[in-house]
Amino acid sequence: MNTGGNIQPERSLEDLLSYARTMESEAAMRYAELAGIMETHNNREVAELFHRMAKIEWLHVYNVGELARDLSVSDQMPPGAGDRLRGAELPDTLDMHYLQSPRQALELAYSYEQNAARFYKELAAAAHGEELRAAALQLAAEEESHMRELERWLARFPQTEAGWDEDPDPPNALD
Amino acid sequence: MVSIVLAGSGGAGAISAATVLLEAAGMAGWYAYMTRSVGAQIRGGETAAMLRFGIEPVTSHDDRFHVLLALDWKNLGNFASEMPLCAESLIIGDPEQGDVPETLAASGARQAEVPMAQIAQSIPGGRGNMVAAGVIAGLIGLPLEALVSVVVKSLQHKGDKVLAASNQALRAGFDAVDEFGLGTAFRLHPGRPAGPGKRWIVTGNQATGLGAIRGGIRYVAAYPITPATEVLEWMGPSLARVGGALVQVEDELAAINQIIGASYGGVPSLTATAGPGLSLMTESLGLAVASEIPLVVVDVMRGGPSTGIPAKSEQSDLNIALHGMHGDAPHLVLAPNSVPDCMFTTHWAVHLAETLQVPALVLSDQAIGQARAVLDLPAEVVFPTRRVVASPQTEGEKYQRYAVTPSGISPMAIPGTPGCQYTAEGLEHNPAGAPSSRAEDHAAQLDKRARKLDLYDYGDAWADLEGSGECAIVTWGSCTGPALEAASRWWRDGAEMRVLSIRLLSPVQPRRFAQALAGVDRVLVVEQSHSAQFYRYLRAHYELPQQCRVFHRAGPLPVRPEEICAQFSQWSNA
Amino acid sequence: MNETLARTCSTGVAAYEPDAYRSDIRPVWCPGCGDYSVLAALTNALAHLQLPPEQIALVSGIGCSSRIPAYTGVYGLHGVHGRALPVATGLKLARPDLTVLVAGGDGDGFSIGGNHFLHACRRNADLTYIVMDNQVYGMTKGQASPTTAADWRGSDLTPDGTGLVPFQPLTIALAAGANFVARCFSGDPANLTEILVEAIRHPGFSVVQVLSPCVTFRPEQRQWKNLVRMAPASAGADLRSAARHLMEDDGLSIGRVLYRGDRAPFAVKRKNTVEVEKLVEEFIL
Repeated sequence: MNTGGNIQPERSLEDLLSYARTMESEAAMRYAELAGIMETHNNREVAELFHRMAKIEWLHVYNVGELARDLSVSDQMPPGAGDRLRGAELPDTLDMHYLQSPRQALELAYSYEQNAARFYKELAAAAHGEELRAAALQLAAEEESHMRELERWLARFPQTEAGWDEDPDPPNALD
Repeated sequence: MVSIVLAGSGGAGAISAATVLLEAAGMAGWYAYMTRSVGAQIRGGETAAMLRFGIEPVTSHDDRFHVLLALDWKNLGNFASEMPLCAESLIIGDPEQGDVPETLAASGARQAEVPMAQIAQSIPGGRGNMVAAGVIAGLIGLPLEALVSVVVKSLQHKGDKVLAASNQALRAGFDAVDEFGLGTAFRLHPGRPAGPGKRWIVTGNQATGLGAIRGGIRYVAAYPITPATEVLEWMGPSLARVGGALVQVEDELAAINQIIGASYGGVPSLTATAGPGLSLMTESLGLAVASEIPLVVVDVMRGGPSTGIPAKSEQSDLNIALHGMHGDAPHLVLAPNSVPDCMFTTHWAVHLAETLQVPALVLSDQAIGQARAVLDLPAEVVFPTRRVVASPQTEGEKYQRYAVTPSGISPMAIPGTPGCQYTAEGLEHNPAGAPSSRAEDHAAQLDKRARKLDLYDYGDAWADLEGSGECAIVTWGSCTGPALEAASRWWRDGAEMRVLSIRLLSPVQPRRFAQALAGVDRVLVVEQSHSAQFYRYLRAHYELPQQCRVFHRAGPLPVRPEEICAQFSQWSNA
Repeated sequence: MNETLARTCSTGVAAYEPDAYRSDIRPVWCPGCGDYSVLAALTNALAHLQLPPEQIALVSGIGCSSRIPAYTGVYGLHGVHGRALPVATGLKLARPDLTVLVAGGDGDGFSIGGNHFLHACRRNADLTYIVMDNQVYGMTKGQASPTTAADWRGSDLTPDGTGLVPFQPLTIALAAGANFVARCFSGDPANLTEILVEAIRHPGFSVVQVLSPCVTFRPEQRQWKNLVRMAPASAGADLRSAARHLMEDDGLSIGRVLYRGDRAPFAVKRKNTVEVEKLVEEFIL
């Protein structure tokens, strides 16, 4: 579901930063989970990639914390904050396939980062306060730097071939 | 001892009259035993009550009946094979009802007539069945006061007029014995009075329920089925009185699964059913075995297969009780062998199930379950019933629900215990409970589940052994009464006979069996199934002497003591 | 730089994080399976409610979604096909102090489990039933289930489609007396979390049908994220509106509680009045 429902120009700075922190944490945990799923399904390459992305997202969480300290603002997540991420595009298990290639995984990650960057830019454009706009732009810039990083990674992997999802083995029935 | 049949149909009240006699016998210090045969109709069908009175405890029926008193003859001929008579018997009928049916007259029994309907009509509000009860009492020497006291208790609430009418009818019937010259041949002579201990009147089904509650059962899921419904109906209010609960469910599948859930939650649980219900429950019984969840299922056996003969007895569910589950699923199978034994065996079954964390099937049957008897109150039995539960885990240790222990029993965490969360599994699993298809885990868990049953010491209650000598009757369940009665005829003549009645059918006890039959060179197996299920079970698991025969028959006719005696006579003469 | 550092920056004071409700066993569901999101939403919901993990029991039947108890850190029971509801009912009635949840798929719940579903709604014990509906039998490799459309030809067992009217679980739940009824989509886990919190809190029998795609045997269900829509608020106004809405909609409206009833949950009355020894007295002469 695509909604921009979380763009609320009247957000306070705390609100924005805690939202950002929540999103990054959630992304990190999701990537870690995706890494686990890929490991269980014997797709080592992609699992590796997702582990690295999880680590990067935790770095982003740290960065948000630094930004909050610089602005002397709290970034604490209130309990039950997960539901405030409604509409945010986070790494979704629905987009996974056990045979997917590292390139496809990176393409997905790239699209998530793109959405995050767009979200912050839209917020910056609509923000009422100068401090808020500045903070949003900084976060957007961070996301864009993630995207450039991912572009470099993508360059290392070949284009996905047709028939990538063909599995000659039949499925198993287990229970 | 004296044996009576009291028959009638269409609301004649034969059963209620017989019940009055049974209770009166108890009040008078006698012992008594009663079963019923009924037609297929819910009401109004032909009915016969079979009673046996004695001054010693009575646990089964005799070879034949001394007296048959019928309020009418409608369709009674259908039951002829269930009320064997002989030339020494007395058939009493009502002249208004016509001739004695040929099937019954063919026994050569003496015939007499008492105009019970007429007598009843001469008493305002008088009923024929009370007259009949009076007649029986007079015939067998049961004091009238005893009947009156029973009637007073049960009819008090209906007012003085009804009470008076009943008492008058009783007396009229009582007096009719002499008036119509029925004789004194069937008088019981109560020698010494009943012992100092307490006595009780109970059915096998009620005793089953009581044993269950004494064992600790506090949750029952109930689905009605003949002839087990009375177990559930007695347990419902009784459980409520002791803080337990009974819930009626939508089918037997819900019943077995509800008690799995309740037991998983830490509450000892039970259900009762008959053959068709047990068939439905077998898949989930396997779940309880695999996930090591204790529970008790009582099967009050009836004529099979399929819908079979619901209101009659048979011992043909042994196979499914032992082998009904798919896979290798060791579990407990027990069988009470008399009305009072229903209490002990069910109590023991709960204890064993909880201790060994396994389902226990209790094979009662319609003959025992629905028989009502005056008995000595048995001594209180105490089992230290204890489910081994896990205590809260200390930091660092991971609780292993299915840990492979030397005894095979691993502590069970009751939900609510911190730090021990686990998933009970029907899938094969490793010691921590995680699903596993590995050979090592399957072997280890199969060994564990078998070992916990095999290593346990069941003690002497596994079977009842009486007598001595080289000949033995080996039997189980409701065939035990007739077997003991047959054996008593040898003992009375100073001869030897052993009777072994097996109570614990699974797991098998080969060592104890060998000990029980040490020195025996001739065994007669007695059972009530068409395909000799019990005999085949013995052959599969136990050493039997060369000379071994089986006397078996399907229900509904109970095995009679003289049939067992005849088996041995034929054997000796061969 | 790793998660430990990031987490120590937080001073969130919740005693139970969502992780407290997870075991260390990794799910074997296919990547892309909607059940991952259901698991995440469930643990988030439990964290929101701050229930001690040892006070929760999760009962399931057989199927891919029924594997879920092993992946949670609460008490669980993985029973036989179609029988989770009676197990959960017996557990709840014997142990009313526990929070009892039930999980399974559409085959487990509405085919072999159909009878128990009907009676569980009638009985209205305090349970929360989460059905992960993917309109297929995934575990056995892709047969039609009761909620599969009549003309789906993807299985060799029903090559011409089942020809049967699909089972309508929520309509039936309403008619049979369930106290709380909602439909969600695994692709909106935030919404699912909210609804689960409310379902667990709501007394009586709560049914939450979660559309949860099976990417292996119904890959077209990846499109659900573009097809589902929010149910209108009016649908949940009362029993009649809910029933009407469910009878008329296409099964893809999600995200709202459709019915909240006020029937008292079934419970056994318990009064400990006598000692066991007293029970024999009714038989004594």
